[in-house]
Amino acid sequence: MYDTQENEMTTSDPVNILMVDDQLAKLLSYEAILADIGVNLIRATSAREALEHLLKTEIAIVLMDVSMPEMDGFELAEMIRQHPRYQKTAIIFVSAVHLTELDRLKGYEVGAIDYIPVPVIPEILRAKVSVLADLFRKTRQLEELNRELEHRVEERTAALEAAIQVRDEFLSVAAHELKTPLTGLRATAQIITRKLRTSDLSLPAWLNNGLQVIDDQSNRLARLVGQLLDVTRLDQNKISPERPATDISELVAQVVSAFTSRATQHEIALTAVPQLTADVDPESIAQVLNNLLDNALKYSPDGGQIDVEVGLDDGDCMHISVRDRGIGIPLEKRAAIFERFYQAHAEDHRSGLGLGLYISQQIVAQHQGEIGAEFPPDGGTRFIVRLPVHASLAEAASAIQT
Amino acid sequence: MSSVNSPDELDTTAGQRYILVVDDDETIATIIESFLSEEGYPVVVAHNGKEAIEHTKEALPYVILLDMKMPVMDGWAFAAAYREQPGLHAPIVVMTAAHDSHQRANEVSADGVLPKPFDLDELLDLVCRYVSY
Repeated sequence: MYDTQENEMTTSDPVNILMVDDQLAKLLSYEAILADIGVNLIRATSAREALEHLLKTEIAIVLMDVSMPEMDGFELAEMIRQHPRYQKTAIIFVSAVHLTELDRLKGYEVGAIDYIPVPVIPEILRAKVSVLADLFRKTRQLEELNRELEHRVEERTAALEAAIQVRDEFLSVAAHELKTPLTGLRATAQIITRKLRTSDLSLPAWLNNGLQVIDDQSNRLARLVGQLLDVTRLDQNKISPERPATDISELVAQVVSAFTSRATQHEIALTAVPQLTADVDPESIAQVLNNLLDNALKYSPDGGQIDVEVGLDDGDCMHISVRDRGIGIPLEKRAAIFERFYQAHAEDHRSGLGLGLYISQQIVAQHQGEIGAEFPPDGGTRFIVRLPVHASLAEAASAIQT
Repeated sequence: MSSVNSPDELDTTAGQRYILVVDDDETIATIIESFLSEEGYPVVVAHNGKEAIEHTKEALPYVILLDMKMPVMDGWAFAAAYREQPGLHAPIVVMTAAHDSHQRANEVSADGVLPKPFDLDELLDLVCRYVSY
């Protein structure tokens, strides 16, 4: 309905035709010919007068005589074309019979789109002006629709941005609200455990285990909440831009050491070139390794050795790899493992949100590095993270690529 | 639970130093307070920045464990107001459930950060470090 109104408004706006001729009689005859085609006719008896009208009014078509005193039609056409507002105004020359082909070409060069020979045949003049007036109306409609469309796109974009902001604020509040009770839960479980251990009571295994489960599970829940937030942050490139030179070997050793207590059935073997440094955000890279080790534990339920290796590929690139001897990933699922919410073993109801590898890949990509998976013939999975050693070189390289 | 170290009886006017826990969540504040008290540390709890400021005017804390989102006066406002105060200042450790805990800590130029949920061992290590100063 709105659109129809727009169109009606557009079509009901007058289409102005400017007629320029030094002889008033001719102008009057054009007026008679064009009287009933629904356009607004404006007279000008000189180029100067024509320009005055052009400055004041939006003109769709200029119908002008080629030969006029002071300034002829060609000169006027050139002046009209120079004005940015009239780049697309249709100019029709009314030409005397003695006009040569060369003159005609000159007319087209300065911007004429058509010629009408003298003597003017009314039907021809009427037909040409009608077509051009119609074209003008349609163009104006299109422009208006376009503006309307742009306006709507702007509105939608603003609404979308606002919605994203609301979502992020919600997630931030939700994370806070979810983690606060978890803090209470964990701390209470730990306090009870401590008290019972320091008391003289002999602690039954079921109670000890139960408290440990509460502690572990609340910790895990907190990590999952964190992962959900990571995804939104990464989607918006909201990651710490700081890349201090970090001892990767040390960082990896710390993460592995923290994991060893959780990996009761596994042996984690760390091989690292000592003091290998790279410009990274240490928290993010620790998170990547945590995710990979989480997966290695989760997908090797029967235990087995997990190899973690840190090495230098060449002067500019280093790698961290994690290899388990678990169930591996079926061939047909390997392509999708880095996708968001994807779980290669979803049907086994193994835990997780399918975000670990996605987040890891995003983090590694933001470090201008890459992450990949290999599937050794003797089973299990090996994930390799390759990182540039120097952030500045990596940024330069990515700048060239893009 | 030893009553000697309960905040009500702790005489901050006498200039005894203490651990200031600032958290609007009653449960969390109580857990931290009772845990640290039992470990033998004097603890004072404030439920917002304004209460915390009052305590700091009476005696210098060893360390301030500061939650950020609080009613009346939040962590940011507290940190700014606290540093405006003349005299010695205790280190501030930001204790937050926010996702970007380190960024929060930077925002108030904190001396440390304890992301929630934390291990009691972490809490104890941290407190031990500041109290031994």
